[in-house]
Amino acid sequence: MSTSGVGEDDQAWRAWLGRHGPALVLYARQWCRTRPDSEDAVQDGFVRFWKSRQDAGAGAPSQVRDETAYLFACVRTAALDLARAAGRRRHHEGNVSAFEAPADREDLREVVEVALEKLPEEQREVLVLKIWAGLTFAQIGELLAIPANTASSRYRYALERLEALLAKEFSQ
Amino acid sequence: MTESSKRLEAELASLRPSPLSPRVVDAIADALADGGRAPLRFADRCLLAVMGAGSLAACVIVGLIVWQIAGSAPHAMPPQQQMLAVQTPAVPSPVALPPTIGQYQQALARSSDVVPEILR
Repeated sequence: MSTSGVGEDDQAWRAWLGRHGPALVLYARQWCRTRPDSEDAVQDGFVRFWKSRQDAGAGAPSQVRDETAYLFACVRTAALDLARAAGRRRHHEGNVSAFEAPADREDLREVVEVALEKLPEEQREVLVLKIWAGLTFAQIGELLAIPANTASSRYRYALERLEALLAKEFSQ
Repeated sequence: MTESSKRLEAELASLRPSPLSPRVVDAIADALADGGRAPLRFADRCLLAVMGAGSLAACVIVGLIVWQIAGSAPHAMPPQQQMLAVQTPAVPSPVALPPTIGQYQQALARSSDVVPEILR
């Protein structure tokens, strides 16, 4: 590979990471819980994704239809592997936030983080992918190996449930 | 989707996930610069060390066995001795020597009377 090729490749992966990195950490955090573990999962998953992308560019056969969905799938696998390996030391990391919020929305951030924890995993996963990762239902369906309609239903249920949870939290 | 759901969706979208720490970006840069090869884990390193030590022990044992077998085998004759053995004329054994005249006469003296008659 030429030097300019390496430079272009370097810019390309940094652009991918810049675009999806924060959402990937939030997504991985569903299984890893702690921020360092989530970041390790993102690191493992991203390296695996980029390597297979390079292999595909070099002519290796690839089954990937949607690269963004595949990137999230790689991070999901890495997060599940890490969570399984670190199962005994899993704990909730309450002091480090998963979100950045404007100062006037700090209350919303805290309530949303607590409410998200109470959602069923399959609904929370779709919600994170739709709202913060910006994936379409088709992409979510491909990532989770479910029909797009199922992804859409899970999203709707998640919003309804979250709405009820938030109403309860704000009324307290 | 209801109006309240849409409002909630917008509110959720106003929260942004925390940015990635520079540590992760550096670690990914290192991993990709290394050809995407993941660094060896501690367990893998232990396995490699055990395999290396096992191979070394096997080589030492094989070496000792070969050395012992070679030590117990009969020593070969030095080449100088071999040449001497070839050049030295073979000493004839006493049985192979022809009888002397004295031995003939003694034998004849001990023989029966038939023999002088035959010789006559």
